[in-house]
Amino acid sequence: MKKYSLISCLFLISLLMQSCFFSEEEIFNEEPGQRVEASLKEYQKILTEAPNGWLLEYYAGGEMHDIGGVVLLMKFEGEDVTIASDTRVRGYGEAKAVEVGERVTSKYSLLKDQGPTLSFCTYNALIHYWSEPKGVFDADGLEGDFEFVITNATPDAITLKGKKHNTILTMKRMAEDMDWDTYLNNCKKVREESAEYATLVGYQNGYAFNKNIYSQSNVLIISKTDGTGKETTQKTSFAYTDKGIRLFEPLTVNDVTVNEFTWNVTDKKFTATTDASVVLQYERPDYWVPIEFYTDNEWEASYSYMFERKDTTVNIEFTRLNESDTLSVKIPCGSMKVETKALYNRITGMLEFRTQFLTAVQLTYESGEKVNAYLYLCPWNPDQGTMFMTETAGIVSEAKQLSPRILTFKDNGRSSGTSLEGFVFYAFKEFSLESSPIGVLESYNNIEFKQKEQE
Amino acid sequence: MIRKYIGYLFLAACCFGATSCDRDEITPGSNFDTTAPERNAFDQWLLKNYVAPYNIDVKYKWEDIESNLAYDLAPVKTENAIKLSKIVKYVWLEAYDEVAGIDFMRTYVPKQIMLIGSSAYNADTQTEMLGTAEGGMKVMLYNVNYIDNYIQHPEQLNTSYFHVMHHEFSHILHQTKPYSTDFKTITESGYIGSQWEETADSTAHKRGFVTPYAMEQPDEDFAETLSTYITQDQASWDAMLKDCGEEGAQLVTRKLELVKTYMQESWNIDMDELRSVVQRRCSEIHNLDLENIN
Repeated sequence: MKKYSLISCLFLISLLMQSCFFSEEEIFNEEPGQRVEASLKEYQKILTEAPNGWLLEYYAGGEMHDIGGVVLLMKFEGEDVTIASDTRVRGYGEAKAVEVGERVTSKYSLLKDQGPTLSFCTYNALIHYWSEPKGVFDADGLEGDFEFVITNATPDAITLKGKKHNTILTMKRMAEDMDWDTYLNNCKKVREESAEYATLVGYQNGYAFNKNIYSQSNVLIISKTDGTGKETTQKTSFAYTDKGIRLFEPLTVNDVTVNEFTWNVTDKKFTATTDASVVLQYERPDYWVPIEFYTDNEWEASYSYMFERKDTTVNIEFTRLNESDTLSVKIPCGSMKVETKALYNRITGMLEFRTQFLTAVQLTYESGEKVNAYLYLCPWNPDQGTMFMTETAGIVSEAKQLSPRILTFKDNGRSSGTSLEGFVFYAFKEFSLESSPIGVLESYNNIEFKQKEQE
Repeated sequence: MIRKYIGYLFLAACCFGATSCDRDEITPGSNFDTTAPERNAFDQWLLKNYVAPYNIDVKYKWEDIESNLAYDLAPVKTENAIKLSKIVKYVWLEAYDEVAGIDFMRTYVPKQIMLIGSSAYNADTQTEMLGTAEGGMKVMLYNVNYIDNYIQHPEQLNTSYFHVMHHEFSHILHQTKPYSTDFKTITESGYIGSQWEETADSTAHKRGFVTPYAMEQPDEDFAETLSTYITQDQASWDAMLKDCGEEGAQLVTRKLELVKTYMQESWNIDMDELRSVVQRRCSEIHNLDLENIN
């Protein structure tokens, strides 16, 4: 026992005496605090000395950054930053939206934090719209960053790392002769011109390397079919430039790497800037149908419930509302038939169900108590059991079979980090989606619309 | 045996002594920039109106480390920070100045006020938080970007912001001079800890508490009784008492009497005077120049 104690004691001594055997060399001449101070001063200088400001292609959507890129032009002066954007935003609870190109000034600070940090430290709708909470039901908002660790800075480019979501962004110095309004208007022009040619096929030297690309709200949705015939989709976000689009990062699709494109409205195509043989060319998809195809045919809808309920098949019909692109269709819910609205997409010819108010009803609890309820359709992910109440969340049809037409439904690509597959009818106590929830009345999964053959 | 251990300890102590054989020079001066920061007009206004008289640091420029990392939040708009800073000074700080004197306020007031633009939304409980105060040192006010909605309805300013500020301030007071132990005995069996969260207002009222939160424990009961009384006008207070029922109202009234006595005897503050000053100042908000820094 005594021997062990002695050995352990010696061992302890050997551990503790290590620091005597080596002398530490200082790597830097200055103290860490002084070095951070010095770099902050340098960054301040770099930021403010760009006479025409900076261009930041900003990506929200958390670590998936799948919401799409936004062009932010920024000029730093003193403690103020003036921002303009190519995207119109309305801050949560704000009475007025900020228009494309409108200047908004707020404050920024450079902080000693997890390394030198650029923080947009007072509210500016143009940047905080992408990170602010949007009420109790969207407490994490669009998951963007407004505080960035500066990981590298030169007078031409500053590399930023989002503090909360770790997205790496690059801020580039704006050329001195580039007028902000011209740049933003050109971005807007590319967006508007290309919007109606959003179904694309990727070609390299005339060979189609990808037949199904859909561009919507700064996101490319790329469908791929693997060797076994299984179709998968991949999302990649992009930002508009004054000449075309730039992807969040270079992307390899079937061995073809793509990054930045120039838009040509005459040919309706995007051409890769580094390789003119690679193009994304507009083609109307073979599954496209006019809106009358839905109203002129008879349809059969089938879907399965959750909660151990059986599958259901019913006849449905579509009615066009006032020559609009909205179709009305009645869907059974218990003993009711509830009118829902499906949006017809002119570009793809497909149908979309988004979050929507349905109707006011009176519900009766098992106890016999009656309650007034406001019914909403909320898209959901049945595997996660999560439903979405943001306006644009939804499911969109795809043609499982062309003739007779069979439609199945998948995520519309407008929500971040999820895959919506069905919807629920959800009851609230008041009209507002922020009121107290009552609960799910019915759920609809594996939805399939089948065109009935003419007799 | 003891002696042997002492021997080992001594050895160990020698080892520790032997480690510090390298000599580190202490750098003269500070590693941090100690020069005064550049102050804009609002910063200077804060210096004059908050730092000099009360030694309160009002933070409106976002610093995540000073905020609440559990939530996704947005920073405050500068113009709204200006508005609320003026309102807080007029309705909260100067109300106590008027009743108890500025020395009282500058001694006990929390030393930091942080302004946050958005609410703190909790998706799990589907609740939002408008104000907190930590340990009597720091007050956090949320939702300041929407302050214009409240300015049109000053009574909402009281329930949303000033209730929590009076509440936390009263904790500082009773932690400095304790209140009578008689207070705890009035509804001794009614304190239920964290279960208050599941208690409805009317249930709390009938059991002799002004709010469900008062049921947490006696100190919270004390702070809630005080802050509810100050921030409500007589009509709202009477309506609450009516909801309490005869028995509940009697209990609440007995508690209020003890709170009034405590404030009078310990701090020479007449609660009814304080209340009327708070209410009067709140109704005078629309006379303030909230836009300009003067």
